[in-house]
Amino acid sequence: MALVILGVLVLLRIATGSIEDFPVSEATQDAITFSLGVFLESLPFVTLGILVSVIVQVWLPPWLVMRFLPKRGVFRRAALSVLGVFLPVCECGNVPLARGLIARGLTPADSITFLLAAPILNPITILATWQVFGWDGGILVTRVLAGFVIANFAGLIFSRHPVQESLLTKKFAASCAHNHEKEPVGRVSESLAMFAREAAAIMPALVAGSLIAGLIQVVLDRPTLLALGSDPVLSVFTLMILAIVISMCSNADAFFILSLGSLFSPGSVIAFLVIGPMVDIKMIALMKTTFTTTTVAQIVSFVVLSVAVLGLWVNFAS
Amino acid sequence: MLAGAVSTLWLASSGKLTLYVHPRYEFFTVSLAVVAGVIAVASMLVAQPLNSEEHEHEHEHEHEHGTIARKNSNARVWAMAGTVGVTGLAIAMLLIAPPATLSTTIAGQRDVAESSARIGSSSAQNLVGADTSAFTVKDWAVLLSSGDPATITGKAASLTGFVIDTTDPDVFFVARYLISCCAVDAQPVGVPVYSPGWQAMAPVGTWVDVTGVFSPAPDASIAPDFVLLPTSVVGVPEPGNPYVY
Repeated sequence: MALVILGVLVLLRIATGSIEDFPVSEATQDAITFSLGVFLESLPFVTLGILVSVIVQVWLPPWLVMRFLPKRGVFRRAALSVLGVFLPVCECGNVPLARGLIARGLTPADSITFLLAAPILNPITILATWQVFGWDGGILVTRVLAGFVIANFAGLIFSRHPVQESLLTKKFAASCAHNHEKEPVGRVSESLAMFAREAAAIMPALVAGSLIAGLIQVVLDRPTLLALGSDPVLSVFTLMILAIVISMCSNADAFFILSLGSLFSPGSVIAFLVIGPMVDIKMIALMKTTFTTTTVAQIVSFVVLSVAVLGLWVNFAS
Repeated sequence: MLAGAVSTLWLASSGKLTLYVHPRYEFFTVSLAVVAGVIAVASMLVAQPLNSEEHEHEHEHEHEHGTIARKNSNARVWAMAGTVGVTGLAIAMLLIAPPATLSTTIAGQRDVAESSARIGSSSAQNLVGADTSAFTVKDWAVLLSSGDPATITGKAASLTGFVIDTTDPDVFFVARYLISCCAVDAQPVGVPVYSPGWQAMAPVGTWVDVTGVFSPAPDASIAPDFVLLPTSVVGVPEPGNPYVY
């Protein structure tokens, strides 16, 4: 059956690949192209994230992950913040990994710190930001420090929640509990089953996030956004909104914002670079697979407020 | 995930994956697509029964609680509808829509990249003295950003790109989209061409082949310091891969 499905998909792709007059408008075609760009760029990172997640859950001893993390919450979250240095996958790949870490005993609050910090505190993002900005204006240092501080404060706040499990969707919480209860089966079979379950949970969110991000590229009125660029307050919120809606990979967002950098205030550029990897549309859709809507809304609110304060502070203090 | 893997591998085999992602990610993308495809098929063959058993186990639990079961049943219907909708859109996007490049209309909404840092890692110094016959629009844009008259003035160029208008009515850009990571970050990069009355022979958005010689701008009021003075501007079809990286 699996091979039949594979054959049908391949034949469908070959049959439709050479259609010359696809019956959609130019704007729709551009939206599809943008969406495919986001999806195809994210897919290998998501696959890698799921693979690492499966390895953590099935192949590593249950005590191993927690053993190497500090016992005290503050230090544990600080250590998790820099985990991205060793696992340099894009932000979308971190979601399946965070799910795996939760299933292995990490608290949801700690996983929130990891999710928010890892996309910024990873070597590829840091190198790309350095390549674009160098040490100019302290943008690189501010980005890294802000990512670390905001992620750890978010983790600290959520760690005060008395019932950590209630931060998770019922479905995901149940699957974590089920993982602990179930009878042992072969590791390979369990790995394959877990890969299928995680892919089924993550892929719809990735498709939906990619489609929305692609669509917004076409309907977004950039000239209006750019007109707000010089205002020290509006520019911060404008670039924050832009970062959230365009859902750009944290490895490339520095290259993108450089083209707008001369038109926008320094605080707004920093706000763009900090908020995008944490809570863009694609990430929000992916986080919804794991955390309740209320939790995701609280995470987004906290990050938005923190980054707004940072951006405004940079603009008015400099 | 299987549809995504099939789409990725088909695009790569037909040489069109770089219409969506930067070539430096091609090997990584293809490798992980192979892994995803193999595991997806294997999980359908081997692991489907395992997940089905767990699914049935959940059902049994629900039958034990009437009201909860009804609520869960409604939620399951909505979840199923959402899954079917997203799957349909994914198949349409990944397996039915033919590969396509971005239209030139998008360029009008994005600023032309001019700073050397945005234009790319190949610095102007590396291009000085190189064979200019193979220079792309991006290479010339990098060289122009250096602003050195000795390396630019009098150099001949033949460039293919699409037309973008500028604030000066006598100047247009011959441009390409520059991709840093994936199609979402596409930004036009262009070379200014001085040609009064260009609108009649090269409408905005059309693809042209421009041949000419670089020179300091003939009019001090023109924004770019250097422009291409064309000896010919000929309309051409869009190339197979219209991007620069």
